[in-house]
Amino acid sequence: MRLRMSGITKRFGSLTALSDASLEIRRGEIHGLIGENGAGKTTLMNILYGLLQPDEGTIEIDGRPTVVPTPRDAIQHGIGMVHQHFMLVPDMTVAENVCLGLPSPRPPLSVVPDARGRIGELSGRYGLRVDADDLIETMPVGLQQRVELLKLLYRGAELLILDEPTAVLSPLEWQELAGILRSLAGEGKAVILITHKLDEVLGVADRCTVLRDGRCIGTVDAKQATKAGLARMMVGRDVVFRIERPETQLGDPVVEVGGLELTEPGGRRLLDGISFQIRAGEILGVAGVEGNGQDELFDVLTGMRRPTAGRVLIGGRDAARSSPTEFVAAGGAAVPADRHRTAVALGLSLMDNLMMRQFRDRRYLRRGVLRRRAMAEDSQAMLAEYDIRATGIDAPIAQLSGGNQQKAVLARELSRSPRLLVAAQPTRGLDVGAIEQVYARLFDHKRAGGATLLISSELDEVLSLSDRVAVMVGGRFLRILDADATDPESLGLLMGGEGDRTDAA
Amino acid sequence: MRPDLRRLATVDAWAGLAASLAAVALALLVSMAVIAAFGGPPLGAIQSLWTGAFGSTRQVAGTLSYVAPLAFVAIGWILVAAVGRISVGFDGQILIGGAFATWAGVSLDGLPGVVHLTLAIVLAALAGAAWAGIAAWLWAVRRVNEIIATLLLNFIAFRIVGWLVRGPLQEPTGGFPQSDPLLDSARWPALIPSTPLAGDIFLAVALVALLPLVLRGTGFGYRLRLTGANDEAARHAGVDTRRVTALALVLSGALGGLAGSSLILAGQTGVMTDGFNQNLGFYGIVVALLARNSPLGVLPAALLIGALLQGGPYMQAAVGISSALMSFTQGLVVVFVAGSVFLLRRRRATGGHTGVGLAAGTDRPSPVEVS
Amino acid sequence: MDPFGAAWLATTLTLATPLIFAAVGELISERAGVINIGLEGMMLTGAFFSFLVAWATGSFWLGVGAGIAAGMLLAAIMAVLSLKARADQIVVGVGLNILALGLTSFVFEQIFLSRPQAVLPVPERVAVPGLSAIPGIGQAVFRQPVLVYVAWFTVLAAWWVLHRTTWGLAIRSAGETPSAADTAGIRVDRVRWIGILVAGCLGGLGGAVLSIGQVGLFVQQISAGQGYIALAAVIFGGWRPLGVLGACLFFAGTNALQLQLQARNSVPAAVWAAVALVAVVYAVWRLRRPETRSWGTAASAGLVIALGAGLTLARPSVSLPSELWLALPYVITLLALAGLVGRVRMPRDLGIPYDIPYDREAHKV
Repeated sequence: MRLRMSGITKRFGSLTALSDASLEIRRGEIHGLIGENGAGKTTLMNILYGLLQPDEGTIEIDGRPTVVPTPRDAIQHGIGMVHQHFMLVPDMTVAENVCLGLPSPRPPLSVVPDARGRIGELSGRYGLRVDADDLIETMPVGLQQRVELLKLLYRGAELLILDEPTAVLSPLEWQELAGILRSLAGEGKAVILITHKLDEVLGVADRCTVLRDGRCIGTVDAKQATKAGLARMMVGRDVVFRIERPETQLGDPVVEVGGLELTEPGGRRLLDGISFQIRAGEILGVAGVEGNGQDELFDVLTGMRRPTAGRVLIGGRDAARSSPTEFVAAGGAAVPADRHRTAVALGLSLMDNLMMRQFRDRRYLRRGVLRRRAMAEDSQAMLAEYDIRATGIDAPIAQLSGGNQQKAVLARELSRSPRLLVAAQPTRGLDVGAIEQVYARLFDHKRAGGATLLISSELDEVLSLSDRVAVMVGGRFLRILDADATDPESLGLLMGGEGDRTDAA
Repeated sequence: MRPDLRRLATVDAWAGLAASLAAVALALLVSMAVIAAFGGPPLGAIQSLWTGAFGSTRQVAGTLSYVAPLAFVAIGWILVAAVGRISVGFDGQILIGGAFATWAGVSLDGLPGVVHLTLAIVLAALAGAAWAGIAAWLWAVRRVNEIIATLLLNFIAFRIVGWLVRGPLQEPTGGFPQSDPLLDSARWPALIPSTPLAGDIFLAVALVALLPLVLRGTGFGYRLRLTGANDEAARHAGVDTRRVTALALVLSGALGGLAGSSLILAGQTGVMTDGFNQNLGFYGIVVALLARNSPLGVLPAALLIGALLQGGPYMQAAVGISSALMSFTQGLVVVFVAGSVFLLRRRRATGGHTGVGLAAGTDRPSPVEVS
Repeated sequence: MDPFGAAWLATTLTLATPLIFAAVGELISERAGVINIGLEGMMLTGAFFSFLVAWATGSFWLGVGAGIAAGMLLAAIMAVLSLKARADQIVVGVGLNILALGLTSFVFEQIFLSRPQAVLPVPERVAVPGLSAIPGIGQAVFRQPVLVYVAWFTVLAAWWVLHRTTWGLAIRSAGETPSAADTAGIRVDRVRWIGILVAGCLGGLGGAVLSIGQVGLFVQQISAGQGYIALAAVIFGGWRPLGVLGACLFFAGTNALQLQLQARNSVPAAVWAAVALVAVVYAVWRLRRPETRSWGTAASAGLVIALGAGLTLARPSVSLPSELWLALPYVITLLALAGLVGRVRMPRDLGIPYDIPYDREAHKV
């Protein structure tokens, strides 16, 4: 089918996720939709698939203007989508998952027995190698992805959208999938690949469209495009404000990590031998696409999980097998990536949240009784010093905006004057003003001689803030570079799994 | 797993009060309709209910005598709700606690009153705590659903007491399923002579006043609230959430035991009978729900429910309407209170940017992810 | 093999019937993702209103219908509150149980207290041709009231619905991965509505069996916690129809046993042997697989087996007071649940309300 999306605009409250975006897909084409996290790729496809409605703009399928109110309509139009998180029921078989929601010719009897044959046929024709009677939960992720594909093909999809398909695949599995996609395209079906992995998409796509900050930057022919060129289109952005990284004297190493490993019971290596040092006054950034071990690194360092091997020294103290309390006692501070799941207790007040990590201190807790006056004084001081906008320390923290909640977390962690701050995605979900303030706090900590490990998937942020940058891929630090000696494009290439390369621009 | 319990507590206080009162009014209205359907006088029934609860000093004393056991159970429920769980095992804890209080009350002769009474109360609390401890252990170690565990333990406790009053603790003639009479030294002194109102109400008031102090002013209370608000964040803060939860369950058991001790030691009959708990373990939960899990509302709510329980038999005698209707009314109260959470939430949702799709607490909403 | 004889078998089947109805109904509801603590209340109202209508009309089947209707009415209230109003499922269940207790006791007292005890005729038994001729157990086991056969049929029906129909796919996905069901176009809340109503229907039917189906009368609180045992049976049965049937039979069997033992002076040797046998089965089941092997299991199982064997041989003259025997079914249920520890697979989204993503709710899909 031919698809044209024009002038698509989508707003969520005060944020504009997509602004006059457009996309054109030809019959039998594999089309890469490229952009950073938050560029709007998934939002655009959610609109196409009927999960969201555009505020402005039109969709044309085969030249006819179309409206897609629900996924059911999308399927009827021949559009199918494979999401990043699979929509599969684990304890049902492949056939049952494929048939989910399909009407039966002889109700209420299930269509599953009839479907088996067709599933086998489709599986053979496209080389999917999926068995209709296997249980989803026994299948490896790569195979599960093919079941999702099968669902689309079974319903006669002519346009298939795959959201970050390579995120869960090994290189070999990706090659197999690429072959399947080519044979689909050969039959005249169109494929849209949402991704930010340039290497892989260039290997299989015919054309690529780049999105940045909700706008369509341009569409290029994949055969003629270069990775560098694409990377430049992806990350180049108008500088909104300048970040001046303060010059500080770097002191002795505060943190020493050697050979850190975390292996799942099933054998998968989540952390594969990580070693690094951070000196006093230094910020070490960790750049990488989410899902490459950053969460696990955070958990291990802050005492939430025990590593299977490795050495962690904080201020000379062995902190490899510690608990969060011991981490705090060793001078550690942590800002988790998922604010609402880990850092903040939404049902409690601001003060409760500010005191959460240090309430055991003698200043606040004596013989089982909380000393609320001290808690209130210190909370009030934090509120003032960190400019937290709230009606008072007793305000329910759920009332605060995201920026102010993050300021509260920072206040809580930094007011202890920690030796080491581990911050993951510290500016996620924040507006420009709040981001500025977060950066200011990080620099204060740096100037005071504290060490920082900054985990972030925002390239610009990592580069501007860090003294050195480690690129994390597959649970390892691929390279550790001086921040001044590299640039966003090179980092982007490394993050995309480019492999060991020199810093050629 | 239970976000709505927390919503009960964080809802705007005045709106919550209005909703609770409305729930009671609605429940009474429906009950009146049922009375009329059975040929009874709706207004007359309500009137006799009122008279039975507040008509004379003796009646008021009777109503007030329900406050202590109801309040104990309500406090126990609130403790467990604060940590994010639900316990329905209070009847069992009442029974076991009361049994131990009875044993202490009939056996330990020759002790001065204060000592004897205190001993019996403490024993009852410990017994109730141990009974809840079984459920807590089953939950923590064997991952048994604590609701079903506490429910089953209720029935077991009921049978145990049934055996006790026909066996080891039975009165000497062997003719009635009840215990020996309690020694005078073990009984709560009556506040107003020859009325059911006894000194245990002071204990209840004290504990109700203590509850917010514990929740907000102690390290334990802090850990409790953290665990209930966000289990993962609590663990991030270094709290052993499993231990804290088990502890909360055990404490609530102690409170159930206290309620049992009240029924026995402050009871008018001075003996333990079969099924003496009279479902107060559930009515106490109604009190807590009516008070929207707030310590402030426990005493007024207990008074209200106590009035229903006290007035019920009077209404039965006066207009021939079975007092079991009061259970029905209370069930309606729970149903209406639970349903009102929805109305209150809707109001807040339309008032600000707190719709389902926007990630609360961010300035940028998260793009809708289907997962 | 006394006391495990024909009488015991017959009693087991009788006692299991209401459990099976309630548990199968709850099975469907829980597979769809909803917990019904109020099942006890549904059984109680079913028991009472079936009795009331049967007494008033003289018709057994009208009474059964009334019981079903009463259960479904309670279930409808549950559904509205937990699905529309998003109230906490547990709290609503507790409220409904209190309500049911009050309502049934109240109406019972209003109508029947002033009258002499009404006893209705118990339904006739129907014999299974051929099987009922088996010597010894044939008459006891294969001559049952119709509803007993219906109960066993319900188990079969549940299996068929869950695994051979499109409804079953919808139910299972709604409880396991509602987001997948939603994306596939299934209306999750509607499926859950139906699940709750099925639980109410079958729970009410189970209650009807308790009153007019077995004893022909009603006493207050006649359900005596069977609703909760049914809930436990669903868990113990691993959320599968056959497993739930087995769990119901097991619980009913211990209940039937306890009824027999109440009247005796001493526990027969066969019972001790049975205890040892159960411990053997349990030990084999858990020690077979390496991941559930533990010294604790081996030690405790070994202890029970030794005790059981010893007591079988020694035949001591011990018994329990009758009230404590009555506690046995609940104790066994607790032990059964405690012995499971994560070996059973719960529907992943059980008890969690499903919220449709914001945008589509606005478009009222």
